[in-house]
Amino acid sequence: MLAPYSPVEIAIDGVGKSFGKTLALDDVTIGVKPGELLALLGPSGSGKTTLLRIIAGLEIAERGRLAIGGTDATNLPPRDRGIGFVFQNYALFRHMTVFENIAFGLRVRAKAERPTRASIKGRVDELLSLIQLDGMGGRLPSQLSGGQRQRVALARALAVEPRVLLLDEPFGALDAKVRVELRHWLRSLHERLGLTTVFVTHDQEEALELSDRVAILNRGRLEQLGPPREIYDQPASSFVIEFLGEVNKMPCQVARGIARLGIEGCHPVAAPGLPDAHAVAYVRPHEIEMSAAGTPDTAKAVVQSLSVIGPRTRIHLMIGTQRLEVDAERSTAEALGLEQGTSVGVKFRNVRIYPATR
Amino acid sequence: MAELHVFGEKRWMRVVLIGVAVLLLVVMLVAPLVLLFAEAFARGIAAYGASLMKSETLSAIGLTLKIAAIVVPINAAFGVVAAWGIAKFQFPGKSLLVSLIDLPISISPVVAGLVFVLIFGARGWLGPTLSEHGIKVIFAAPGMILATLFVTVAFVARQLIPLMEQQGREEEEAAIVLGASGFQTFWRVTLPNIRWGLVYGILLCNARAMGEFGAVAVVSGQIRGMTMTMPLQILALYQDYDSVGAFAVASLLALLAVVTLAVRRFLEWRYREELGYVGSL
Repeated sequence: MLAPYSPVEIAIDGVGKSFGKTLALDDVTIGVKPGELLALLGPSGSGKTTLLRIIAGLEIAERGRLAIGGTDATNLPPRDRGIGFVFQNYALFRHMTVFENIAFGLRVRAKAERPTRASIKGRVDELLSLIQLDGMGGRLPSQLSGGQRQRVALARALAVEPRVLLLDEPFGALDAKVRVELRHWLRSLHERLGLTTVFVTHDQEEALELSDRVAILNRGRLEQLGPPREIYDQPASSFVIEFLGEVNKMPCQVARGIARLGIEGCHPVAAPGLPDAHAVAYVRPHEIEMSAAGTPDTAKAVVQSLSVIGPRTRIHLMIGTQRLEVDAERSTAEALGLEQGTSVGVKFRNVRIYPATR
Repeated sequence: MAELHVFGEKRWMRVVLIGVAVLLLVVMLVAPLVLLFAEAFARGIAAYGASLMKSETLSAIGLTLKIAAIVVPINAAFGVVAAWGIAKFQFPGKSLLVSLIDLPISISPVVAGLVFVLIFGARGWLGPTLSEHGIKVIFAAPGMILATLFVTVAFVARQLIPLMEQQGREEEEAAIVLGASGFQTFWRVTLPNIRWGLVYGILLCNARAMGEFGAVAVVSGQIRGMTMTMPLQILALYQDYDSVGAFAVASLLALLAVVTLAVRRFLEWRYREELGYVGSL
């Protein structure tokens, strides 16, 4: 009964939306492939939730088109879109039991389409066991933990056999441990159901780990769309690289396609296509190699402080007036005998140059 | 007990403060209620019953019930609609509407009554036109219903607005996405979520509608056996030196107040059980 979802595609084509004077979405085009798990990633105010609500029909796009499964859905009422929606705070019906919550979508159907009482019960029981809450159908939402509520919200959305599953910050309100567990559970559920799924998150780790592709939004615009690995390895803009986690930022000067960091011992970096101007060089903390001070081809840095975090070491360095964060194996730091005040040779393994922000 | 001392207050101070509060409550609330019932039953139960069964008094009770039966449902419906609109949607002029809803509560009822006389009275804006068609508003039941409607219009809405605002729109949105129609959403999600607040708002509205004096006194003309409500009848009986009669009717209104209060306590206890989960963490 849970298998026969036929995955559909979602075509978001040039969608725009304003709230008063603020532009929430500006010409966003994303094609969600059938059966894909897509993350909408961005900071608050980036328009990611607005886009999800437009797919659901809870907001209407002012510009552009939306098609679900090949048919135009731009102005279709939510109930006719065949979607399941999981709200950020779950929005469970507080006065209904878990069973009634899950059965709701089936019970409100027109009489001709409404399943029989027995088949509703069968379906709800099946979903209860899918979300590992067998026998808890009689409870009220207030008697459940956060993770349980989340799963009930998911079961309620799945009960109507949607063609598309939409989740708004599905793990936002949960504590770290439950979060990771549910993440894995949701991924395996997605693999079992094969349902086209779009979820909103502001957590880059969550997006990179869980999704097939990530769409990064910033101020209502699509910054980059691609598989997690591509997004991480080839960030399309300085916004993307900054949003994807901690990164060192250094000023540099581009001339004839070559960027110079102005740090002694630091090689120039190819910056093809960039105009001759000030630019910004980015280096991730784990992409910095350390060696004994004075090693050829390295810049000289001084250790400001260091802290051990489990198997890793976090080192704050200074190259002249430039501050650097380095993430290294603990053994590396110990082999070099690093402590506050020691000098160390530094080499950048991977430098990315982006134009200075407009 | 230790946490009681965080403010550093002395034991005797606590006793004095609580004592003063209790004394005030007894003098201002309990004693008057006891005296009221004592006065009503001063000549025994038979006299109490007989004074309630007088035709003038019966007609006043009947008219009061009729007015409440018309006013309360209208205001309940208005309250739900207004609270829904205000709590769940953003629109220009919203804060003005919220202030307007409070107006009938902050304005003196006598002034409200006078306004209706100005509109519907013999020399009012609409009075002459209405009397040409044989419709009598002032010094008749329609005027009293209008005045009571006006005075009690905000009670249900004011009870529901904070409740609905706190509950937000997400549950309704969830219902819509799951395929519910507008009516199904209202009937199965919105209404059950506000039911106890609604019941209490209706009770409050009812108590006020039955107890309204000022506005009704101005528009009713106080024709005995015709346009008298319970509060008007109480004053009339009292001015006739029929103190048992006056206090007997008064005891009914007092009883209504006590019952309203008791139901409120019960509902608050129900709220805690049922509304412990507010939807957001």
